[in-house]
Amino acid sequence: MKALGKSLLKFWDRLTAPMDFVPHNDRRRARLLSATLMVFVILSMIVIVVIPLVTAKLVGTAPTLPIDFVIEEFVYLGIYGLSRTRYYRVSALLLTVMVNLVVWSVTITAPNFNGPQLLAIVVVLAGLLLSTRTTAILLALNFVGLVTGALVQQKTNFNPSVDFGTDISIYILFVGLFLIHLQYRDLIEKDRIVEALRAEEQSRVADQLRALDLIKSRFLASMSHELRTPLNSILNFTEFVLNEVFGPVNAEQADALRNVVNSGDFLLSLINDVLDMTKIESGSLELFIEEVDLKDVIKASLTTAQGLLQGKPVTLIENISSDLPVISGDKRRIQQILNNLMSNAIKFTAQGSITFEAARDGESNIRFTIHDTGMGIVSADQELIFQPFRQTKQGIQQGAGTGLGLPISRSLTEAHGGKLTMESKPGEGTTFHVVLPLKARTTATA
Amino acid sequence: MSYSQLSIVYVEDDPASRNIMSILLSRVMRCPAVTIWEDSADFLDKVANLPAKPNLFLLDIHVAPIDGFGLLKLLRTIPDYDQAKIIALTASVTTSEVNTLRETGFDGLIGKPIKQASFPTLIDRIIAGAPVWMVS
Repeated sequence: MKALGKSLLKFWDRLTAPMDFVPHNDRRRARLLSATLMVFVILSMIVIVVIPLVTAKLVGTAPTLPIDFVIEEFVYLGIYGLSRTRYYRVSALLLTVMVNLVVWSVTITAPNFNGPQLLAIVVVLAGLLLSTRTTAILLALNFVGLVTGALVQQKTNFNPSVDFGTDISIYILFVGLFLIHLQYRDLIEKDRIVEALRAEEQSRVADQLRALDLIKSRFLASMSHELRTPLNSILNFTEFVLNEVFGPVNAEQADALRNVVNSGDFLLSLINDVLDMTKIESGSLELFIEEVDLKDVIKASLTTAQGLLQGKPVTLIENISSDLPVISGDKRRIQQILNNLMSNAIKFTAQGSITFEAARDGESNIRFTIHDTGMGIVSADQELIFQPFRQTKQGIQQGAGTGLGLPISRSLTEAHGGKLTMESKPGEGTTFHVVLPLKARTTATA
Repeated sequence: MSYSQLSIVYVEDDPASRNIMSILLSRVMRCPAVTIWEDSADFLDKVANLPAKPNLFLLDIHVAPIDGFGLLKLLRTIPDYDQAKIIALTASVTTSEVNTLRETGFDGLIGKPIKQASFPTLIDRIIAGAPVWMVS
């Protein structure tokens, strides 16, 4: 019972749905159809009403034209054109075919039967099922007009035409179609205004976002500038003293000064990483694509690595293919990726070796592999380390690093259209793979 | 070209940076001809009056009255300095700022803070005509 009530309610909702339930992109088509239908109806009025009247006046007898059905076809077309969904349209077409079959069979088997009246009932039922509220009302009126006209014709002597009922129903049909047409016109106008307002709102929000983005960029640029200037003094004066430009320093003093330099360097890398991360997160990371000679980049990376390795019982093994091509990419960023991975490997490898490999990978890629014999990463941490500001327990204990190096490296690789992956076994070591396309397919957006 | 053949002009408003570059270029790298100015007033006149024609300009961007971009434009109008390398030496090194430097026609960039370990190598590469875009 409850289910029946629900489906009845749903049926009522559909039945009484206002016209603006017709989807926006269907409204223009619906309006065009209602206009076309009006033209058809006017033509039919001429054929059904005007021509019989005039011939009756001139010749004395009016011809009986079997044209009534045509009107009903228009109604179906109307239902089809004005219906809300594909389901309704398919139903309208099916009903048209079925009703025609019924009418034809009635005409053949019972020639004296009043066809149009029977048809009108079916039309109204179909209209109620298929149409929007307005078409339903229109069809109901159409039916009422048809019946009233026929009754008036039968009961009184008032008989202005051959089939007064059909005449009235056609007038109603025309007025109804005209009203529908007007409604669609208003709806389309409303759509246009709503659309314009929405576009205006969108562009206003976009302007505000652009302005905010500009403020943010300026702030970051000025922060970076203001921090780098004093760091320039801190690092360079300390290094002058450390390098004994101003006179000899003892071992203890040198050690203290080295601490200052290391901290300064760390602060600098923190500034760089935070700026990079902000760019990545706001989607404004831009690559400067140029021809990159990988030999230069690799050499620079290995030189830096050698410097970091000093004093550690770790051997650096190089396995660099002799036919490395010149690739197109952002040289500074590729350097940054390799440096990041190498310094990570060195940081987490107490003894053993670090292997650096570079070779072509298939037709269109280049592959860097950095393998260490370090402490390794437990599988639970293997995705975590690619998240900003996240580090493994060992990483936090080491004390150095921002937790941004790997997410930045991965984003930079992906911005080139490449892939950064890793595999690791705790206690045995870690391997990072960077696969870069020979021609950067830059995915970065401005 | 060795450092002895270099004639360097450096324009910089920050006193500490001037001091650092003076020590680095003159005392550490032993370049004989290093001229450092704190502003860009009468720039072309002062450059023309130098005993040795400069072949390397290091320009900070935030200098007055004419900024680094203005100085670059001025220098590019004088055929005498066609062969001179013009390098930005600045702490304004975000990606968009670096792109602006590239677009305006600087021969390169050395970002602050300057890295003493790699600075001589950068100068070598600049002299050799290689593009140097070093953001530390």
